Amino acid sequence: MPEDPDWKTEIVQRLARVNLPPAREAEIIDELAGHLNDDYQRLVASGAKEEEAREIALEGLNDRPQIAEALRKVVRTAPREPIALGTPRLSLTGTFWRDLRYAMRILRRSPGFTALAVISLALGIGGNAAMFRILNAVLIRPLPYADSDRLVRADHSGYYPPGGLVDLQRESRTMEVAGYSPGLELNLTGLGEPWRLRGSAVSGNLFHVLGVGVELGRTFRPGEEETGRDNLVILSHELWQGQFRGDPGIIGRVVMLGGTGREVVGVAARGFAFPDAATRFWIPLHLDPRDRTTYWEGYMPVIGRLRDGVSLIQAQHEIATLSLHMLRLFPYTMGRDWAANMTVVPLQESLTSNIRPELVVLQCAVALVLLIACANVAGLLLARATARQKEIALRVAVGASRARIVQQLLTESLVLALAGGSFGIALAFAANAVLETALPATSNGMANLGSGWQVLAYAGALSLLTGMTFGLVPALIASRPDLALAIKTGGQRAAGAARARLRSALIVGEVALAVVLTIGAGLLIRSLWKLTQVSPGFQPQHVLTLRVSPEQSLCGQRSACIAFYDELLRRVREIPGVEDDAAANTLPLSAEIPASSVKVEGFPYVPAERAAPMFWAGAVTPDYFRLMGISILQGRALEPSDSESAAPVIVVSAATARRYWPHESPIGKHVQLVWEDRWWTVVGVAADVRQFDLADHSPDYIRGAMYMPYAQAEDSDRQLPAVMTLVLHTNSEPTYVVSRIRDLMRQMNPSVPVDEIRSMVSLVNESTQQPRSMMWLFVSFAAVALLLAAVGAYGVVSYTTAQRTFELGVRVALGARRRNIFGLVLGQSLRLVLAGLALGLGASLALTRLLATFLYGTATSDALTLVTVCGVLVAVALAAGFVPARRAANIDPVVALRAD
Amino acid sequence: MCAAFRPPFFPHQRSLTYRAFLRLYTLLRYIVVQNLELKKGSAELMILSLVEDQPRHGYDIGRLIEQRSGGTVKFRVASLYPLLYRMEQRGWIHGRWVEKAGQRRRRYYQLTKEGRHVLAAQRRGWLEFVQAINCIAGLENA
Repeated sequence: MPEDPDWKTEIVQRLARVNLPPAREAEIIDELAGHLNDDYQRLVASGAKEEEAREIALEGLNDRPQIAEALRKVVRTAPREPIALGTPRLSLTGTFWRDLRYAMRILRRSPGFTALAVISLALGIGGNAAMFRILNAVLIRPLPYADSDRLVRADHSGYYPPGGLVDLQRESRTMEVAGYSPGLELNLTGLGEPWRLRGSAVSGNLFHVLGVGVELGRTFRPGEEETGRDNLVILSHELWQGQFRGDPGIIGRVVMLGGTGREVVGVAARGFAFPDAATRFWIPLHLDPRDRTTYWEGYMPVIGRLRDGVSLIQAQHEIATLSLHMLRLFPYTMGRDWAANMTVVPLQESLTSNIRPELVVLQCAVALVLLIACANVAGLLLARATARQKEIALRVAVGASRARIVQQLLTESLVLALAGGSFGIALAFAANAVLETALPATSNGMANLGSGWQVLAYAGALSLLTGMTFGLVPALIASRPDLALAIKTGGQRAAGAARARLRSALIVGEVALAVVLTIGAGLLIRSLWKLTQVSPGFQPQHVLTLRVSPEQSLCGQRSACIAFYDELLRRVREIPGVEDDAAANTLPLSAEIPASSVKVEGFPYVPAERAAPMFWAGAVTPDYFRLMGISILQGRALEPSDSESAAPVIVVSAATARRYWPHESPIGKHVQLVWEDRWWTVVGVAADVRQFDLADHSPDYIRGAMYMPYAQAEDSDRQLPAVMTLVLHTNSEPTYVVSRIRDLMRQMNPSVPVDEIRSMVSLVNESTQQPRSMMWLFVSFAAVALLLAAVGAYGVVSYTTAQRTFELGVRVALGARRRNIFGLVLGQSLRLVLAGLALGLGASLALTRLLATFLYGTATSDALTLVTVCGVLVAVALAAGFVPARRAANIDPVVALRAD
Repeated sequence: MCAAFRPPFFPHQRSLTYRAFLRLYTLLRYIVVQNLELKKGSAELMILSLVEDQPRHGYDIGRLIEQRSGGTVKFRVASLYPLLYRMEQRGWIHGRWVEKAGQRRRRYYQLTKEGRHVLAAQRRGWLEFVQAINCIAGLENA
C-alpha cells in the first residue's frame, strides 16, 4: 500500500484565509484529508500511478466555488486576533470579555509573576477582610436595639448612685434615663447543683429605653423597683433553655436567686445580653431612699435614649448641669470633682471603648500590609510593562488607542486583584480565629461576628479598588511607549527614566511602610519581654485557686461567715495533697478591684474639693502571705490573733507606704474607712503585688492597697465579703483535690457553688495572652511586609542590573574589577532600602504613638528596637542585592557587549 | 392536479395558442424562480435521502451519489463538505466522529428529527415539480 501523501499541508494552505476557530479548523482538515485519502487509495487501487492519483484527488479541492469561499459562508469564522487593541467592533462587554480572556492567557504564561502578585494581594486583602469582619461586628454594625443611634451613656467615669439616677430620671428633659448594675452575681439554687450566675440589677424602664421586648412574659413595670414588689426576675434565653430546659410554664414560677424567691416575669429575646454577653438574668434595681447605703453609695452606669428632636450636644449640656445640681442632694459631702466633665457619649462608642484602640491599631497595620502589597504588585506590573514594551508599541503602531491599552492592562490588574481577593477571603476566615484571641472576648459584638456576605462584599470591593489603584499608574505609563525605540530594541532599553524612578519610589515607600510595621513589632516584642520579666509579687507555682460563693445573707452575722470559712479551711487542709490553704476576696491579676474610700491619717482632704482616695482593699486569711510567697518588708503579717474582736489592723503595700509615708515607717500609722469612725492600724508592709494586671494598669483613682484580716474586713457595702477564693498549695492532682472540696461543700452547705477553678500559673499566663497575641500579629504583619519589601527591592535591582548589562560590560571591558561591579549593584539595593529606612523611621515616630497604650516599660522611641530594626533592614538590603550583584560581577564583557 | 398550474388571469382567453403560451410561461417562471432552490435542494435531497436509514461519512455519501446516478451527478470535496456543514448547522443532520480499529477516524452524519421533516417536504416539492414537468410534457392530453 502506498504511503499517504501529506494532505493536511495542502488543505491548510487553502484554508489559510478563512480564519476558522482553531479547533473547528483542525476537525475540518482531518475530515477533508480523510476524504482525499480515500479518493487517493481508490484511484491507486484501480491502477493509477501515485502522483496521478494524488493530482486527481487534489482536484476535488479546486472545484468552483473554491473550498475556502464555500466554507467561509458556512462555518462561523473565529473572532479576529486583536492585533490592534482598539478595534471598535465589539460592545463594551464584548471588549471586556475579550480582554479578560487575553489577561488570563497572559497571566498563565508567567506563573511566577502571577503567583507572587496573587500571594501579595491575598495577604493584604485577607488581613483587611478579617479585620473588617471584626470592625463591622464591633464598631460599625448598629447595636441590636431599636434606633440604637439614639442611645447614649453617661461617659466612662459617669457612674451615679441610685438616688442620682432617680434625680436624673425626674429632671432630664433631653432623654429617658435608665441605670443598671455593672456586675452582679447571684446563686441560682433549688435546681440540684447550685449555679453562680452573672446578671444585672436594672431600673424598670431599661428594656423600654433599649427598645427591646421579651420572648415570653413581660418586662418590669413602673413601681416594681420598690422594696417588697421587687422580687421579680427576667431570665435570659440561654438560662431559660439551659438550666430551666426551656420550661414552657416558666412565667410565674418562683426561682431561688441570691437566696430569695423571685417570680419569673419574662424571658428575654434570644441573643439579648446587656450590659455584656455573660449576663443571664435581670432583676429590678433596689431603689429605696431609706436605705442610705445603697441609695447613695452604690454607683452604677447610666444610659439614656434621646427624646425626639434632641441632639447629643443638648443632652451633654443638660447632664453637666444636672450633675452639678445633684451634688447638693448627696447626704454626705461629695467632692466637686465628681461632677466635673460629666457628659454623655453614644452608647455604642461607650460599649466598645475597651476594644477600639486595639482595633484601630490592627486595622492600621493591615492597611499598611495592603499598601505594601499594592506597591509591590505595582512595581511588578511596571517591570512587566517594560518587558512587554514591544508588544504594546506594536499595538499602538497598528492603531490601538491609549484608552484601549489602558483598559486591557487594567483588566489584567483586576484579574490579579480578584484572584488575590478570592484567596484573601479564605485567609480572612482562617485569620479571624487568630485575631479574636488578640481582642477582649467579652466585647460587645465579638460573640456574633455576623454572616460572611459582608466580608465577601468588602473583599470584592477592596479587590476592585486595589486592582484599580495598583494597576492604573503602571497602565498609564505603559500605554505611552516610545514606539521607534521599543520596536527597535525589543523593549530592552526603552524604559524611561520616569519609569525607573517610579519603581524606585515604590520600593522606597514599601520599605518605609515595612519599617513602620517592623518597629511596631519590635516595640511589642520588647514590651512583652519586659512584661514577662515582671515579678507579679507572688509565687504562682503549685497554687490552685477556686471560688466559693455563699449567699451574702450567710454573712448577715459576721461570726457565722467567719466560722464557715474557718471550718472550710480546716477541713480542706485535711484533704490529702493539700499542704496549705488560705482565702482572699480577690486574686492578683484578676482585673478586679475591691475598692474602698479611705481617709489616711495625716492626709486630710476637703470633701467639697475632691472625692476621698480609694484603696484596693483585700480581705485575706492570715496564711495568705505565706502561701502566696508575698514577702513582708516591715512589721508583721496578719495573724490569727487579729480576730473579729481584736483592734483593727491592716498591712499596706510597699507602694502605698512610699506614697504616704516616704521618709518614715508606716507601722503604727492609721487609715479610716470613710463611713466609719474607727481607725485601722498599719502593722506591716507587704511587697507590691500586681493586683490588677501584670502591667499594673489599675485605674488612677486607686491610690493604694491594703490587706485586712478576713475576720475584721468590710467591703464597700460595709459587709464581710461572703464570696471568697480559696488558694491552696497542692502537691497532688488538682482534679482530685477539687472533687474532694466539692464533696466537702456538699456536706457543709449544698447551696454554695464552687467554681472558677484555676491554677495561679495559668492566671499569670492568661494575663499576658492578649499582649502576646497582639505581638504575634504584628510580628507576622512585619514579616510579610519585610518579605514583600525584600522581594520588591530584589526585583528592582535585578531588573535594572539586567538593563545595565551593556554598561556593566563596558565597565568590565575598561578595567573595572569584579568587586567594583559587585559594590555598584549592592550599593543600589542599599540606597533604596536606606532611603526607605530613613523615611520609615520618620513615619514611625509619629505612627507608633498609636501603640503607646499597649507598651509596657518601653518608649515608642526605644533605642534598642530602632537599632535592631535598622540592622534588620540593612540585612534585607544586602540579601535583596546579593544575587543580582553576584550575577553582575560575573558578567562576561564579550557576551555583555554583544547583548541587544 | 395539472389545473393547479393554470394561471388565474386572462380567464376569457380560451384559444389553444394562448393557453399553450400561458402554460409554457408558467413553467418557465416556476423554473426561473425556483431554479437556485431546486439545484441546491436536489443536492440536499440526495444527501438527506442517503442518510435517512443509516449514518454515513462524507466519502461514502459522495461515492453513493455518483454510483446511484450512474456517474451523472458528482460531488467534489470542495462542494460536498460545505454543504454538509451547512445542513449540520441548520440542524438537519448531525455529525459525530467514529473511530474503528485499524482505520482513521471518520465523521458520520445521521438524519435528525428536523432533517426528517425537511426530507419529507423536499420529496413533496420534487414530486410537484416532476408532475408539473409531466403536465407540460402531456400538454396535449391536458
